[in-house]
Amino acid sequence: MAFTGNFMCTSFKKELLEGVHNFKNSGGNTFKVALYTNSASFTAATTAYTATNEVTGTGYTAAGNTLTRVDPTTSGTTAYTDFADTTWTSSTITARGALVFNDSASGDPSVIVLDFSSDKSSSAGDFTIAFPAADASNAIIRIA
Amino acid sequence: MLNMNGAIEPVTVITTENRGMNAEEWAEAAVRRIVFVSMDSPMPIREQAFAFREQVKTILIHYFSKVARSERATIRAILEKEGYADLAKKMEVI
Repeated sequence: MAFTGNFMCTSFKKELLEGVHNFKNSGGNTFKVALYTNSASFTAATTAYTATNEVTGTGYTAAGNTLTRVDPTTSGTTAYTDFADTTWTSSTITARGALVFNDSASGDPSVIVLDFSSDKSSSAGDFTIAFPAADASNAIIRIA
Repeated sequence: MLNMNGAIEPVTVITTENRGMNAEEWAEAAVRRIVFVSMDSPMPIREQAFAFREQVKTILIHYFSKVARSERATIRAILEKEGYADLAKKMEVI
């Protein structure tokens, strides 16, 4: 039971083809990022948000932070989208990884699993997730 | 054909203890988003890009520090106005 890497959820790929997810900045779905302890065991087979093994702590509420969407765009033959960095301020949290999920869609379907590689802790401080550069090679969600 | 290998680049997690993130930490997070330097690019271009990134970071630190100071000045003014002179004075030493 542990995080074993970063994954794009397989169910998310299918749901993209079904039109379940809308990442547009204006009028898009609400995507959230929830934090988890290393007792969580998310993989590409993860299909939905769960409160099991979600972190608890000062400054953190269940289901995590709402992400600010960045309009999907293209570069060459790659389409990609991005989220603004997110911060839990004045928090005391220890987390090993995170799950991004669609809070608007029925059943809170999962999008991606994020593995922090080690436990990360804030203590009466900031806990910030900084997403990679928004380009065709690095953006957090890319279709090549 | 939809070719989606699902590779996810790692995120960066920044945490602090008994304080919020400072101007340098925010500038580092911001500059990573503004200037991405590919490790596949030729060395002279890469070096130029790194130099540019450092320049941008220096400017961001300067202005982020100014924002923090301005914010403290505003808070101090509000505290003084509300009769919390002692607390207002403490804002000077933060």
